[in-house]
Amino acid sequence: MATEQHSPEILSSGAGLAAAVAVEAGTALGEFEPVRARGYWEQVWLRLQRDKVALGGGVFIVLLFLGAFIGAPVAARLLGHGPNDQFAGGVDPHSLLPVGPWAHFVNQPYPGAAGHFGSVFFILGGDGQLGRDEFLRLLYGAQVSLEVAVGATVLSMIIGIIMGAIAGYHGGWIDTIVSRVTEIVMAFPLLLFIIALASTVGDRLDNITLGFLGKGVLTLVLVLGCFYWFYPARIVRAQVLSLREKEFIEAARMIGASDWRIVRSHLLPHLVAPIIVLSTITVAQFILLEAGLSFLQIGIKAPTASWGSLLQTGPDYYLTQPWLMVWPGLAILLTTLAFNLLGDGLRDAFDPRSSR
Amino acid sequence: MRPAGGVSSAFDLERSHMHRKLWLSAVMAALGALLLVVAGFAHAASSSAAKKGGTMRLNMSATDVDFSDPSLAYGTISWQIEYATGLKLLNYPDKAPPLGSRLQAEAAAGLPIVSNSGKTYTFTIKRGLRFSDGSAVTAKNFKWAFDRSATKAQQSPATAFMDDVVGYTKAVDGNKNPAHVPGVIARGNKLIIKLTQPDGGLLAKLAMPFFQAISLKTKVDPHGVTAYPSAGPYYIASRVVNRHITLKRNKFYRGPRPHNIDTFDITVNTNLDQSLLQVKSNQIDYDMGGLPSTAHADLAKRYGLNKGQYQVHQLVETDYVALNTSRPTFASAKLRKAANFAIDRPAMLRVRGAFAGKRTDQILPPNMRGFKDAKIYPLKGADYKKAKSLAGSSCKGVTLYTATSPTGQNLAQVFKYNLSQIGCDVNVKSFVGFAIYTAAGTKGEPFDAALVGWNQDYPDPYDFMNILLDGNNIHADNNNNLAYFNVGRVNKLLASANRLTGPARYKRYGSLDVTVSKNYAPWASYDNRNMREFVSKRTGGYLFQPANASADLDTFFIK
Repeated sequence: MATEQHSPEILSSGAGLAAAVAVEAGTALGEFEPVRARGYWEQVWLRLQRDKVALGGGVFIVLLFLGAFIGAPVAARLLGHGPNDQFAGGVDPHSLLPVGPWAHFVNQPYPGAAGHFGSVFFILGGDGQLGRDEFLRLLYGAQVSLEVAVGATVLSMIIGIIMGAIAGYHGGWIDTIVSRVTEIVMAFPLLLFIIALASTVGDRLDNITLGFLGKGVLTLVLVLGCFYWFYPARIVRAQVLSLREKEFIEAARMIGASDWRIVRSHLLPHLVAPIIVLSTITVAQFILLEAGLSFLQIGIKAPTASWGSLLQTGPDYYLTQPWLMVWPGLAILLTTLAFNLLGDGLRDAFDPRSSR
Repeated sequence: MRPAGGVSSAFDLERSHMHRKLWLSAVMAALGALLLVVAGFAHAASSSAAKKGGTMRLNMSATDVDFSDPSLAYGTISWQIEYATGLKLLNYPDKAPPLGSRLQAEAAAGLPIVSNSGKTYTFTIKRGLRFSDGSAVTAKNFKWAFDRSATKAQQSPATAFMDDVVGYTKAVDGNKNPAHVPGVIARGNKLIIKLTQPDGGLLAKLAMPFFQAISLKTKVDPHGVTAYPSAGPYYIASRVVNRHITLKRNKFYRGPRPHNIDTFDITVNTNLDQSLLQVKSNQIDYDMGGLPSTAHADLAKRYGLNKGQYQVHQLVETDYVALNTSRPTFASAKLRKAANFAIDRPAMLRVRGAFAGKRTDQILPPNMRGFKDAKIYPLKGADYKKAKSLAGSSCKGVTLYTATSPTGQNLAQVFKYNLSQIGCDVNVKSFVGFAIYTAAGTKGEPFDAALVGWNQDYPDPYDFMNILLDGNNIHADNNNNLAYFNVGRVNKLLASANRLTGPARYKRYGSLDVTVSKNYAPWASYDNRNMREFVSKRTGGYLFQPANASADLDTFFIK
């Protein structure tokens, strides 16, 4: 019986000119199976699947987003209190130190108060002498950290891509100006600027919440986004400088494509991979930066919970309640690690020459 | 029965009684003498135990002093230093309570001669007193303290205390630099102070550091001098603002006050937690800036309460939220009362840690003469129901001033949370150290509430009621009336209370405290604080000086 001869199926990559066409041979000699050309993104996904550590990082990030934006309000509803609610019972009446993990107490306004009061449960104990729920603050802190990090990353990428693409594509005096501006921004003393901003217009800026952000989130997004675009700008500029000399750009130019069309349809698809990799690493950097600024009390304003502010109260209790340093420290460590691992994995996945 | 015999025997019996009494008296006298000798030896032994010399390393965590200038210094820590460096006409001795709260002559040869009218005080200045630069202390140096403080350019907070001195207020209002106060006259070794009306509190006021002997070389300086010659046991040898202060022993000091340590090296603006570790490990001997609020329970457990290294002593002090009556938010007494019902006093006190003090809802501290416990506002927690009924929907935005310290930040969060329950949105602005007093003390500063405290300058209710709530005391800056409370009727009542003396004075002030707290509520008082201090193992001679409200640096020695 004649075996059916399948012709190799070549599929469109869907990723424009950036797609690599791959034809894979059958598994056994003499046996012909339908060979399908895998798209660029499919190959990336396949390579990423092989990197279990990076996948683990990705899963952790997904869970973190779910925990922060869905889990936090659900937990607050189940526990019956919010992250900023203060409880007398959240502090030990004798030592006046926060209660430890897995603490149940009666919600009395003061010890020995008459009447019937409901009970309160703190999973990770109190957050300090104000008697707030450390667990809820950690979850809501994740919201803030992610909002700042993702928001600032998006903003810095947008500015960086625009500046880098303009500089790289046009070259000449435009490139010179953009490059000098980039260097000035790189050399800008950001920390001092943030301190100055906090002590001058910080209060007014912090009050802009757009109805859904915590106080201070927008300020940090703007400040970090506007001062960290130099890194993507330099990478994009370098990529565009090399790409603009390629034949497919020349061909596009010859058929009369406009500059905007060339950049949008022919250059940007080539930049997707480095931008995604850089973004994941930048998110991790911004999480650390937000924690650092809140630790220095120039980031997110109290009582809004953030990992940095939670970490800041920890050292007060390092002898008696060391876990108060452990929870936020662990959250920051695992999150930055997850983003970095995912970034590393993505870089390898986007690289066809990668050993993985 | 023979009367003679009887007499005789009775006489004998009486004689034998006499003998026994004589013996007993002799034995008791001998015992008394022995005890005196032992006490003398013990005193000598303790004196000899107080080793002389050496350098003590101190920290001043989370703050610097407000000023080191004697005419400007007005904080508890700066007064702790001024107590060690200043020589006053009258002063509180380096003793524990109650002796430490009793005034005695220091530079004055004795108590002043007071005229029959009670309006002229004549002091005789002791001879042989010297500043740390070797120059002699004379009556002119005390007169200079008055003139310097009255000079407008100096902007001294002392001006609030001496308006009864002839020509003082006029000098303050004038533009003469330096000012001349005609009511203070230096004649030879006599200092004459003339008053417009009798002032029962004058002697206590003279014991404030503002009126210590000031060298004529110390010129008027609105920014405050940092290092200058002084005539007390120590002097400020150097000061780098926000960094370092060095106190050195005044080698010309011949007075009776102790002065064991040669040099105090004070590092300013250190970290509280790190500083505590340093004191525990004897790297630092004492932190003038206090202790982390979370450390007290553990310190008491490990070192015992008042058994040596860890000391807790009651202050004559009130911590309060000044509600700025000059701004629209708290212009209404109703909303101020609502704030008083809304604040959770136990939570405010908890923030300060263990042994912090007691809750209060009044202006005068309970250990101030005249205090009457009135139970006006809830001490056991917030009463949001009552607060809401008073506030209605009138509370919108509140700008709160607080300190940058962890305690200041936590207090602000309690206040913010409490007021949010009655619909107020509290915006917190933080200040380092004493900067909050400079900011809030400036008239027109845009704040609605400030978390502050007041420790007595001298033991009289005038120092709380008139100094902090008399509307006539409101100036362009350096104000102590941080509520900017100015009610004509209350001003008159305060002035009339000040004219009284003895029990009537204290009774009137006690009633005024209740009236003002209950009807006007310019403050939301929340606690009367304790002073909690911790010294290194090698530190000897710890003494809580009650009038000074802190450890006495003069008595310190290295074991």
